[in-house]
Amino acid sequence: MKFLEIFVRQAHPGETRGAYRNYGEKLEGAQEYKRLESLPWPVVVDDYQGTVHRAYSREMADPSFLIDADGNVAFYNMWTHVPTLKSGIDELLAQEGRARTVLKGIDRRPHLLASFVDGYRGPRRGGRRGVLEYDLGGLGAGSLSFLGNKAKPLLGGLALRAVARGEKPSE
Amino acid sequence: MNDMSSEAKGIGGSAAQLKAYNYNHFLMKHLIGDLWRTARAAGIRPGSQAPDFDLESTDGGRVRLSDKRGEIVLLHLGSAT
Repeated sequence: MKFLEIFVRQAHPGETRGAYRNYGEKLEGAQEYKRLESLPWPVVVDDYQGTVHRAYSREMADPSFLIDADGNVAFYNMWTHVPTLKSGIDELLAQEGRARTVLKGIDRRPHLLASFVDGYRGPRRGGRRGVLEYDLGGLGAGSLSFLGNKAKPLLGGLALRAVARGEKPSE
Repeated sequence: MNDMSSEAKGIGGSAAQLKAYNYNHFLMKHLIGDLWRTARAAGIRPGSQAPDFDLESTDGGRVRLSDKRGEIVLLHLGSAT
């Protein structure tokens, strides 16, 4: 199976990293992002209009998709949640990659815990304004992600697990 | 796979639409938009063909989704901030 990151607009622009003014800035942002996150899989850049972002998710902030071996959208994870994706991948693999849909096709639950525990570095990268606006516009989300980041040693085991609760990690 | 061009019709190319998409201030309307879309399951319909794309990679190459046929692909849409 293949992992692919599609780089989209700034979610929380600020004084350090503001909105991209053109595609060239967005491409440079993607190159920096791949480096900062140490991503081992390819990162491709959506166009300046956000064509792929809109076509797939109508601009959701953090969605993921599982595409099956026949090119069908087997699963739409509206708020990316790693244990749920893992279950979807396992279900797809059990059907040799051709399932059309898995886990009923969609997960709409807003999985906020992982985002608060591990998501602070995003808005922080935008700058102080990025965090402040996340707090004001997100009804306290900036503060929660700040505190979640501090509590990562405590909450990480639950919030950042790779598999669903009760399931054993595969080898 | 579907061609993206038909999906892209009506997608904003005007200066105002580009500015609204590439916003420079995160506002409550963006959060409400995500919640509204979540309530409506807005976006691609599960089970449908994934719209194809051919995008530039950070390493200078290009990646076309339809070239991955025969494999499971995990797509994540991510932002630097």
